[in-house]
Amino acid sequence: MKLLSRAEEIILTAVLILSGNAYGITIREHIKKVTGVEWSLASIYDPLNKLTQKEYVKKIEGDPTPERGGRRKILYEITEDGKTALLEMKKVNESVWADISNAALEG
Amino acid sequence: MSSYRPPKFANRLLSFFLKGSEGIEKLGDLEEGFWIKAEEDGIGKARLWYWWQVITTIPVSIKNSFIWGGIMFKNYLKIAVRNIKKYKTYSVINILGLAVGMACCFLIVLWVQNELSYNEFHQNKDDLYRVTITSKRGVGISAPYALLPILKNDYPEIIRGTWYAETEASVKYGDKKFNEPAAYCMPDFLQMFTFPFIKGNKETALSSTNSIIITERLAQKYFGNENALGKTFIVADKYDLTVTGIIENVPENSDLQFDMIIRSELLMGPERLTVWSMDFPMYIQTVPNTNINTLSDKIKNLIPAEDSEGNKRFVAGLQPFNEIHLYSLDGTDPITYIYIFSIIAIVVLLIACINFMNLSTAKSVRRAKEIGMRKVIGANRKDIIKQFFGESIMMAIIALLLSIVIVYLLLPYFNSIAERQLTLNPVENVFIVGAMFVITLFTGIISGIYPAVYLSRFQPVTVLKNTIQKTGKRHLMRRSLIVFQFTAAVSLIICTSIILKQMDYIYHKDLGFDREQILTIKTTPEVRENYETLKTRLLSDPKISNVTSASSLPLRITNGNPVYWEGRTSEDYESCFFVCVDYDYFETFDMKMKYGRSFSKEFPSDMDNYIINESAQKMAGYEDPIGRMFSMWTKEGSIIGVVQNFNALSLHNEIYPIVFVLYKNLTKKYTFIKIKPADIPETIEHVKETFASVAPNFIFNYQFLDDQFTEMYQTETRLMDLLEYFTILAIFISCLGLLGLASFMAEQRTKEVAIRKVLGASNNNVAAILSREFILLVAVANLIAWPIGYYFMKSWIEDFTFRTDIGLMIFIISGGIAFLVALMAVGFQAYKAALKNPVDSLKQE
Repeated sequence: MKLLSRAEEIILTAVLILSGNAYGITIREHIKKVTGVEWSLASIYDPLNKLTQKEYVKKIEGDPTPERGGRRKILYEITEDGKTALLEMKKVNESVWADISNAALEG
Repeated sequence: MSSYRPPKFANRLLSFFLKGSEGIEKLGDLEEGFWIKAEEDGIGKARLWYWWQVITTIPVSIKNSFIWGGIMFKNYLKIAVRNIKKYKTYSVINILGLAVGMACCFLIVLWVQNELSYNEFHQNKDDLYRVTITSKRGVGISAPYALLPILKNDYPEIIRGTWYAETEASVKYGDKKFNEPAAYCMPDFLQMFTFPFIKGNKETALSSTNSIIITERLAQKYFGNENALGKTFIVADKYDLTVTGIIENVPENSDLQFDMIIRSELLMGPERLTVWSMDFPMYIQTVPNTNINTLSDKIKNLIPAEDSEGNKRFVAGLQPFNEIHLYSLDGTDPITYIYIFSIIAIVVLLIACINFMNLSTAKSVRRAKEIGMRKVIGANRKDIIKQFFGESIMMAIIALLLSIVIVYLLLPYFNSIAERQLTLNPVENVFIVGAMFVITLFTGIISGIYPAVYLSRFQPVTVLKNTIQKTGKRHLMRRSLIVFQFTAAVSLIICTSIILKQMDYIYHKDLGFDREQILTIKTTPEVRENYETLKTRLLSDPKISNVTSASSLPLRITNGNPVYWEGRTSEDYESCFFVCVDYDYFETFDMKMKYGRSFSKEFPSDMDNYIINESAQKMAGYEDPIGRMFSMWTKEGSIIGVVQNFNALSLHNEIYPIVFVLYKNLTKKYTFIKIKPADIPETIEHVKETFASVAPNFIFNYQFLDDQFTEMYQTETRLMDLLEYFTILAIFISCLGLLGLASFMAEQRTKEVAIRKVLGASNNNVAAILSREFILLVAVANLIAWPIGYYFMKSWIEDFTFRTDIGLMIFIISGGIAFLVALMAVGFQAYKAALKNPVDSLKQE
């Protein structure tokens, strides 16, 4: 299985955590919270598209709200495949970081 | 919150790139983000942020739409190629038709481009004018000699002026001697027109009457690689002229064509430069931005001659030099032909486009399921329209490749008919590449528009349930298109036939004189001085029946002069065409005398006598003309004969009054020799030797009079030839379409045919049923085409004073041809269908 890219990984975790309320704006807010960096919407949509194509997430139509100028929300929800991929990623991350202590980096 | 809005323009920009649900999602997200941002950082920052988001989103969207577009494009392409392969007959018909139509357009574009490029290379072209002279016989381009100095000296707007006469002159250098085309001009010519010098000084090259300027080609021909400058030629047997300049060869697209430039005085003699008679065209150059209407008004009344009512006989005018190629002053303007052929090329292309439309809508039943499926899967109407436009444009591109091959193959023939040296060179000629692009796109769009709109309208439910209805409306459209095709084709046939008939009439018309087996030889003064000896020697040959000479061809008697007769005073003169002739003139051309006799050596007084034609007799009003007074050049004499009217000009004109005089041999520059039909080459050889024996310097060239006659109608002949080809193409493409449709219909109705046959219909019955519709359509097309053809050709043929009747037969025959060809195309298919064994057609399900 091909590994997720960093951006895909971050977005997929965001979708997982925001379960039920994951769409462009909330994902962006979440990323800002955990990484401290403001992403442009375009840099969210592109990985989201790829994740959709890989069927790690699926789109669900939400309700229109006045803040959106009456436009329908597209909510993203993680699929079983997506969870498997995240799990895989987590294992990889852990084994990559396993033998590296903070001291080694700070020294 | 409601007082602020996200930037509208950014919004619109983004919706342009984002389609469908994707757009709704992103625009919604953006707007929500905008409000959050506005609360946190204020509205100004929010706006900036919004813009930034839009700008960064666009590249991704473009990329995505390209990927999807590419995927669909691949699919469309695949389906299109499969369809082309699957229906080979229709594809061949479509592509061939379109290719031929497009090739016609390309040829015409090349031709028009060439016509428009004429004389464009002159730097002063916008300030150059040709002086025209309008008299009651129309507009002429020969201007009076005395006018030039007046124009140049008295009008500050006119800065330069020159005569311009083109004629051949003999050129001798060492043992090389040929006739070369010469331009006789004044020194201003070199400053007015742009003929770049290779050697020599433009300012002074023509300042002496002993100068000659030659083209590179001529220099090469006479001197090879030697330096031609300063060499001396013997021109026209009597002038020693020194080469003072060498210019580049005159371009093909120049109306002034020559290989050398010499002074006008050598042609007309310096003493004539002040008289009011008119022989040669005159060009002037004005100060830039001169108001030409004002100037024309000032100069129009400069020519003194007046008629009895005190009106000016000759009115001077100015024709812009830019126009001389496209607007000839006599006969039909070449620009008319440009319009005619452009329209015809477009019509031929349209006929081919109609084939495409009809065939694609006819076989639409076969595509219906595909369209239904696409719609079910999610294609909207726009996508289907895009797909069909794509297909027609693809067809057009394939046709383009084929048409380029066709153009290459046809160009030599086209050139020989149009008498041009056109080439298809995409590297040098960017314009034609552009034209090809536009024409291909145009073809694709025109032929795709109806199928695209029509096919995309299908409702998936109806087509997939197989209940597609054959509505009458669709057939109406197809029928009208067929009628249009055949109307165009039949109109073209009618026009061509009428031109053919008129040309046949011209070539076989009795002009009132004999033009068969008459040699015309343009002589030099050397020959004319020894004319009597020449004539005696020639006549000693038993194969030569008559020899005479005259100052102009009997086909082109154009010199006019004032004449007087009893009752006419000097203020009240009429002009009359005249020709100086030798004895035996009327006998050589077998012209019939109506009254009196022809010139004869037995009457020495004939030198002062006149023979006139019937028109001149009518003008003078002499009931009994013989022995009455007549005078020209203030030389009084009496009329000794009246010759029957003959056509001394093109058949476009009526027969004008002509007077014939014996005069000095020196003016009679044409010698005519009537020879007997046997051993013509041998006789001509003998004539040549005889000329050499009396005039050793003479370069012998001859033409047959009937060839010269044919040359007069070159424009018409060319028009006829080109039209013929276009007509054949139009009818060919129309029939291709009909053939395709008929074979399709026959296929559709296989079962019907089989059942009819089972029930006892004969092959003929069945074939008749299958072809009936098409034949009816062609009949309707005929009814429409007849008045159209009549309307166009009536005005063309009325240009001729002498013309044939159009007659009903032309229409019947033209219609008949279209009918026959259509019947052959349709009938063949119908018969093929009728001959099928009904068992085979009914068995298969």
